Amino acid sequence: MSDQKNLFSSSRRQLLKGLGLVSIFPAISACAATGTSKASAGRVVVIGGGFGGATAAKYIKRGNPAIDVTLVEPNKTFYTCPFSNLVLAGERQLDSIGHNYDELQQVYGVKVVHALAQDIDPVAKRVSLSDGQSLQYDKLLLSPGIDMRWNAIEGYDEAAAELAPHAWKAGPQTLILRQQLEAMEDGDTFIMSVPGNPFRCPPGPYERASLVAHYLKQHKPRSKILILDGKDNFSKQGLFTAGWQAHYGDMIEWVSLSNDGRVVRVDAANKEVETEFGTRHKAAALNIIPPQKAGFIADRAGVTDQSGWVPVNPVTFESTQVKDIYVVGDATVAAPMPKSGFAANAQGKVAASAIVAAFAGITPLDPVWANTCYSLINPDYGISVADVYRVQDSQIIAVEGAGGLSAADASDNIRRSEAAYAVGWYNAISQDTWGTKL
Amino acid sequence: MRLVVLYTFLLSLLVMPLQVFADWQRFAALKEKIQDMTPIESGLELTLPLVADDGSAVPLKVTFKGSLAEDEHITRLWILADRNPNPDVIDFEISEHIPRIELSTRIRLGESQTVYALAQSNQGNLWLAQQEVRVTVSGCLMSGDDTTAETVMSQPRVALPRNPVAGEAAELRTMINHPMETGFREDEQGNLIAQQLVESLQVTRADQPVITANFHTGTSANPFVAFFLDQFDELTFSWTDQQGQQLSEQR
Repeated sequence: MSDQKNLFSSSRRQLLKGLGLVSIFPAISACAATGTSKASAGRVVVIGGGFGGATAAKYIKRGNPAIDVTLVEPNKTFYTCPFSNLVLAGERQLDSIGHNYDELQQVYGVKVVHALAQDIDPVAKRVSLSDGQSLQYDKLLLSPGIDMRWNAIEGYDEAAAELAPHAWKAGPQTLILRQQLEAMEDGDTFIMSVPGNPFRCPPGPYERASLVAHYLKQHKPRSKILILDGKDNFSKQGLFTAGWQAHYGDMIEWVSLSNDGRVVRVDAANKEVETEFGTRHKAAALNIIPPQKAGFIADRAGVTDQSGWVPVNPVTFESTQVKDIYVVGDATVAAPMPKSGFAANAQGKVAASAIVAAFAGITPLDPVWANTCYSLINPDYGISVADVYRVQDSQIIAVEGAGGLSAADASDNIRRSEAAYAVGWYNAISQDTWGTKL
Repeated sequence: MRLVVLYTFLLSLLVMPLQVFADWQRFAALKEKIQDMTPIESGLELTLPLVADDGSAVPLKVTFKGSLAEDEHITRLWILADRNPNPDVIDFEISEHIPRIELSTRIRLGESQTVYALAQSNQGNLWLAQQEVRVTVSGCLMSGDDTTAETVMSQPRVALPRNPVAGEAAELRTMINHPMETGFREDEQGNLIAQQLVESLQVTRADQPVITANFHTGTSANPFVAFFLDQFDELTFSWTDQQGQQLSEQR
């Protein structure tokens, strides 16, 4: 008997391997669609149309088309943080990282409302929107992304971000920073301030430094990049440092926390920063990536904890604090999973599966996630770190021995291939999330 | 159904006192300091991240907001971590010249565990605070101390408040570069690397002790301490390492 069980579970694992995450969906969609086609199988409101929310909306519909799904997202076009560093470097146009909601509406029958979700009443199960509407839900899924902690760094508020952009949400902020880079004279300094953990996209600042260096090397080769960091080590540090040395010599200088790298004050008008121990630095282009927290609607829903992030049940991504509210993506405490678009997409599928299962009254399967963070040191030189995650003792753990880091001594050919894989990854996840065909 | 509720209630009565008793009393390093006293479990606040992405430098703040009798002030404060190889993290000797107890530092946590703060007044009263921290090395992150740093002190740093006003409490920060070798770590050949720590930071004002921080293996590399003062002249900051070397800064 136990042998048979093992056989079954190992063959199921094989099957899962073949089909990817989609296969964690309970096989009820066909019955639900035909059996109870007229009545709604339940109402889901999804807030946030980024990697987590758009994916969840689509996969709930794929899991059971009879569920009524409404996606609330203020913007008609969503610009991704992944690949926005290529826009900064002038290697891509902003349009090429913009995605819309046509497929979700036309193919999957998701109702899309372009408004801002302003408040949530978790008792009445109602969301109120900026356009005066209110939406009733049975299950709510939040993918609110991040908000900046304004004034966590003295002098850095919303107004200051117009002068010293964070560009940590892609779109207009990306363009402000691009303009500052374009306005730099040869020999000027670009300064980036990086916060302590946790923050969105751990390798992102270092990829940004790389691609800005790629731009400066071609157009303003005597310029400098100064990274002022609130940490003593960072993602893929060895690979980045070696790549910088090989491609940009000493153009990029990294100042760690213990070398007085933490920025505590910003004078955005003068593009000047002051560090913990009183060192002042002046920039021609100033990029402040401030400390972050879950998007504000998570606070309104009452799902954040004292850290400002959202604790979730890792099997379902349902809030541990408020019933029937699921939260995915950067807003959650899902460590060791990183705050990445890839992770948000995978979590969106897990939450979608849990919601479909809950409406059907069945238990969701234990999830397994993968994540890869590609970073470009230049458009033809890519590095990556990959991990596989699962749940053990009610906590997410990284599976030991799975995944890995690009080899330190890989050839240029391999780096070129990884840069191509990064583009392949971007195209694939854009199609999976928004249906964008690139 | 009602029976189940009743059973749960009775069970909770049984379990509750056990939990209260079991908590810190099981932690020898803490029990040793508290002995048979009863610490006050409010008034002392410990601020730590619930989840730390990097156990090698976890920011910690401890604040005292309890009520004190006349002529009573906090003189000692210990930070302890029960599942570190050595539970001692950092401790402070505090004078009356400290206008308010709000101390910040960075600590090492080898794994997920409960961190404790214990404060003692000159009248012998004790206050206890605790917080659980989950340590996880986040995906796309790397952790670990700098293995190449020299084991000597360098770059003593002091930052006074930007516009200090005598009589107004304001925070000042200190840091010194040093790898804080724990003695628990192996080199590439598998040999234990000898312990090398900065032992203490002593702050004096006009030769009167203000505050002393004693560092242990649970203190992060490059020991960082921030605290509040309301007099900012004639200050001396002296760091001493285990070899007896001393570096001083005057302000």
